[in-house]
Amino acid sequence: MFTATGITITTFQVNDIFNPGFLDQPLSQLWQHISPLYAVDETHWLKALLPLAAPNDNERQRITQGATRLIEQVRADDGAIHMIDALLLEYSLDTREGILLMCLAEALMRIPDADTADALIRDKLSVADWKAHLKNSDSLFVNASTWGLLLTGKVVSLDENEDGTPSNVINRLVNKMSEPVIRKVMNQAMKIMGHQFVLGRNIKEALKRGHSSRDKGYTYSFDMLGEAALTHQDADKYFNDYKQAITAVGNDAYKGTSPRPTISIKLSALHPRYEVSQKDRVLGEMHDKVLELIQHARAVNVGVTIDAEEADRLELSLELFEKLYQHETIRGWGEFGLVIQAYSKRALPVLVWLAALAKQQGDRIPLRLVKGAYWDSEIKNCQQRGLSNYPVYTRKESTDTAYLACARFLLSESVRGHIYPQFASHNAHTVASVLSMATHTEFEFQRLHGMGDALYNTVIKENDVHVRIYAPVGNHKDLLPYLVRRLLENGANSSFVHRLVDARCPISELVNHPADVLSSRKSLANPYIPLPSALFGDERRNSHGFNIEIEGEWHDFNALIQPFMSTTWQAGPIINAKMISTDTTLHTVVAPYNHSQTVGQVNYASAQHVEQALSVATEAFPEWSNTPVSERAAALERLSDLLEANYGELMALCHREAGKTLQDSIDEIREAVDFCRYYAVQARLAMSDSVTLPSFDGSTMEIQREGRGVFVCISPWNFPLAIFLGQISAALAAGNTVIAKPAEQTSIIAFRAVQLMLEAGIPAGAIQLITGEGATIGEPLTSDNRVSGVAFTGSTNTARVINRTLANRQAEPVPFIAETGGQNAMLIDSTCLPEQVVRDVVRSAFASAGQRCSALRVLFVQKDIAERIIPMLRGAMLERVVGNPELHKTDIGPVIDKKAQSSLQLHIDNMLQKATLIAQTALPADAENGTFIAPTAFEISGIDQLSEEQFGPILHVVRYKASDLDTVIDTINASGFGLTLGVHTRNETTANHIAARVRAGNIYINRDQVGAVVGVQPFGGQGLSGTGPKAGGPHYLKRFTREIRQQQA
Amino acid sequence: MTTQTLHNAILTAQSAREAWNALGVSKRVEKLSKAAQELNQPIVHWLMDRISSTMPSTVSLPGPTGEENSLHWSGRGIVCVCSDSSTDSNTEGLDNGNYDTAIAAQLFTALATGNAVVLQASHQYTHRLHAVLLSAGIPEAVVQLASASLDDLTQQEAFHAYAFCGTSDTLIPLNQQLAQRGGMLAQLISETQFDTYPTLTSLDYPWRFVTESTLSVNTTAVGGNATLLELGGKNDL
Repeated sequence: MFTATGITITTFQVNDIFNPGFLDQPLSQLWQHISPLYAVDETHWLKALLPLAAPNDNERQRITQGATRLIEQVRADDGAIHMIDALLLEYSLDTREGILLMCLAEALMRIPDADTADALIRDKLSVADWKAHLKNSDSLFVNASTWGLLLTGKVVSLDENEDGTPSNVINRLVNKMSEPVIRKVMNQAMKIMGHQFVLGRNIKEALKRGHSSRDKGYTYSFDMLGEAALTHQDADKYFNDYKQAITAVGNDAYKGTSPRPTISIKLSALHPRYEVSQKDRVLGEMHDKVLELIQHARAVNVGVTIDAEEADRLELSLELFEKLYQHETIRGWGEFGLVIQAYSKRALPVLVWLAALAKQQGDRIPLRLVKGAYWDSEIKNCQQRGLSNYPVYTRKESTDTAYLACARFLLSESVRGHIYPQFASHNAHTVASVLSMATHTEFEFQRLHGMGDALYNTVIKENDVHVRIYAPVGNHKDLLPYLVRRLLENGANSSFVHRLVDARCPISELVNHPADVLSSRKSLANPYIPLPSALFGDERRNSHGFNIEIEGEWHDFNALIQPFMSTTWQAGPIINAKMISTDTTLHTVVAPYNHSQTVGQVNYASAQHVEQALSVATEAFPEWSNTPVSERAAALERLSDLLEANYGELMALCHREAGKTLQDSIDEIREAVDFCRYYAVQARLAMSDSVTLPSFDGSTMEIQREGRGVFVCISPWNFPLAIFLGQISAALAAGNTVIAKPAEQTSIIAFRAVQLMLEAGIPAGAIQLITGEGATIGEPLTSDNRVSGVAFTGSTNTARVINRTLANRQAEPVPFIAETGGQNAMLIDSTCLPEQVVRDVVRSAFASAGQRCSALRVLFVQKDIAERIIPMLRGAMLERVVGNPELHKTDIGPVIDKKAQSSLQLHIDNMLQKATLIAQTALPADAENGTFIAPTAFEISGIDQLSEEQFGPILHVVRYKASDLDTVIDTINASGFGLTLGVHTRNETTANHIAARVRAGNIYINRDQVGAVVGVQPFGGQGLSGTGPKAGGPHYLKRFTREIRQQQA
Repeated sequence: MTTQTLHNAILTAQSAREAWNALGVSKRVEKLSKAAQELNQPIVHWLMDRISSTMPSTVSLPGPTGEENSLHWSGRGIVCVCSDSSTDSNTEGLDNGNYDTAIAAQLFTALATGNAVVLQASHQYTHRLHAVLLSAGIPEAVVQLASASLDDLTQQEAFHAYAFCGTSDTLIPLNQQLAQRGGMLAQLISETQFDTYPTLTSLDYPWRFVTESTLSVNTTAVGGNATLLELGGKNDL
């Protein structure tokens, strides 16, 4: 069904799903309804979905009455507000205390060393007002925690003086002495919290603690929650945990009558690369592992549910599920199921496909319908990637509506017996709706352990219905980080759980039907959540990205690229809009990953072309400079649209000429588009009107900016389109004419970009392209007196050479904007989450084969966690795929050329003598055909062991003592570079301290340190790393202008 | 002053730059404005006003949800405030008073933007400036007076920028010398016209003394994005 000929666009008609025979269509046909809905227009799709969810008058009345009765009973129950509900009510997440409590809960228990733990407690507790929460709550649990927080808060809340010295020495002494006590109290408090959220620290304890609920008629689905596995070792560990848990549940000797408990499995814990890009491995070795678990579960008759994860993995999870479900050893069981998230726009066609899958095989799929647990990260992810729309709804009531639409389908007669629906919700209205819609009893409800107790105690008493408790099992230390996100979701003010127990909230407000609420909105989509394209409001359109993880999007996108995968291009200098081919030297370009693949031919310019370019550019300057800024800006905006219109060709060039992977190529094109639009905006802002201001002597100055003259833009091969166009678009927008000198390795894409500039209406005289080698062209270009400024990105040494050449002219100094190298560090302390850190380290150090100015070179690990981080880093590195960057499965492509390769290899050989090897990723079998470097990590003693930047996939790791943090910062500063810095810590005081002390241009907290976005993270360093102003920032364009003034008395 | 003591002046300035920069722009301007009251230099007051009113210490940047992005600036590091010694003895067409004004403007701007300064003791007036700053309570380490030649000064790789006052004739060789220097690319911020001060009064002038940094915080690292969740459930009509 996943044929290369791909997807025919079929329109999915919601009403058709109830037609007789609809579920008897071939699975492959039903499958095709899924992907096109990934980013469907929200309004359009909700309009289609609403009628399915909307009740008729009779049903509406029954639901309202049912929900009202449920809430009244819950509120009448004295014991209703307890445990987690109560904690959420008191520490709601719109209070500072609520957030701080969550931060502590997330991190405290995993910190191995006392000093760092104490510092975190101090950081979180000293700023909150715990006293205000005392006695507000009737819950003993909440008050007990509050007392603990209040006491500790009091002891640690000491104002510090500006210079960091304590204001009161005696208090400080008390503080020092009592720290171990506080730590103990806090850890205890976290254990109490953990105890509420986690049913048992191991499956035996969970089974035992579950008995009392089972006596009331509940049953369980146990979930061994944890982080996703990044290494083979961690995946094996989780596999064994699941296997033992299944055995234990199978052997449980509970004698009551409640249904048998099941196990929930999180697939990302079972394989380090559960990703679309690694589909072969997922459907191969990972499938075999999961199958082994399910076979074991069937043998001991413990049902298995596959948990839902991110939207990008939905289609992959279904393919895997299908393969497992249809396996001969699983057929006929009926206890192998999965979770579907109703917030997904694709949920309904997925349910249709699953129902057909079950019907055609003839057995039952248990299916947990949830609202969805990754909503906020899905939204963030799409905004970051500039995708066309969201895979999820943007209003809560839309998700609630979709949930009911899905529920109606699942409860329909045509699905009955094929899918066993399991409705997971803590919302009384949802529960009442399901009960009203149901015409049979072949379904169950599910709730989370510690939540919704009162609601379901009522439900179970009054209805003949099964209720299963979804119960996390595991070490508190491992589970709390994961659970905090569930709390955040349920604790947000909007959440029903919160309002259910809040007596101030009238019941009538809680029983509105979501379909009615949604229909009453002015717009079906949430106006407060802009689409990714509208992230920058009216200022400019965000650049567009494609999601290659989604079958439908990838199919269409790949069709744009393929026509150019066998093109050979001809490129050369462009002077006055004409391509020059006389007096040039012809060079053949081959793909860096496959030297037998010819990309094209490039003519290299000679010195006389430089002279021609200079005279054309000089002559053209007055006219371009006098062109209104609005016209210059509009030309750049047309260019940005042309770049997007030529996405496919530019992708092919990024692959074939620069060796970039799919995602890197998308990011490259997006950055170029953003630069054009950003500088268009900046030019209008700075240059449309003159500025009038009083001068120091009482006169009035009127200042107008204009272009300086001819700008030379010299750009590198590592961002052959983005940096190339970034420099040029700023210079042009400011009214300069430009002579562009791209890196010789990436001349073709530069050539195509200049052709597009001319097509966009930038005059022939305003842009000159000189292709060729810096050695022959650089000197004549930068020694000429007609040059009014130079923008350069490249090595520190070349920057020095250019600066000298410029200075040696008999002319006043002109702006030289240089963006050079780095020796970028990341600092991580023991409060960090290892999985997050390792993911960000791998991306920061090895993405783009480390060929980014921003790439991580030296990782500083607090020694208390080094034994956890370093093996995880090793394991994660061994899972990377190095190879052909055209392929989705490739994580890391080649380095640019032989020269780069041999210099990096020399460094690796050198370090093998002097340092400890941590890990080296394997090279592909055909590495010899290209210039590859195996991603490598070494442990070294300090950053001073490195002299210069190694521009490739080589990471160095240093262990440090927490008490030596400031010395570490000093050594980083002493390198003289100052480009990027990464920090991973949960301690804001520590983060602020590091950010204030390390001299770096771009500082990233709790994320990776590459991929700066234009206008969002203006990019550039200090010291040896560059002159500023920052590219993609508000001051950059001004450096390309001169101020012309008129003075009036 | 020998090169050795110039070296010491640089070391002292280096030790002081971090704390001075960390004071923040408003506190620095406040201290410097006090010192400026002792000098009758309107341009210095005007620059202090401009710096405090047009250079906000933080600018929030737009971006995706769940991230906080902001732009900050600090002093580049150590600025050498120097001048053309040949202009000292009544160079033709140059009013010494205006020349003093330019040096004062460069010095105060370098300091106000968070740099530590090595001030070349080239004129009588530089001694006066130094004294005024110290008596106004500017830490001594932050402004080091050093008698050294332009030649010596241009060899020092520790200087991030040179704030120079002098003639174009001196400027070009000075720039050439600086380009020969190793280490980072030094900024040369020069005023050569003492009747209108086009550099000192330009919009971009104070920005030449600073370096920008971007801070990007992933606010969802701990778990979720409560702010966004609230938007998802926000009531509207």
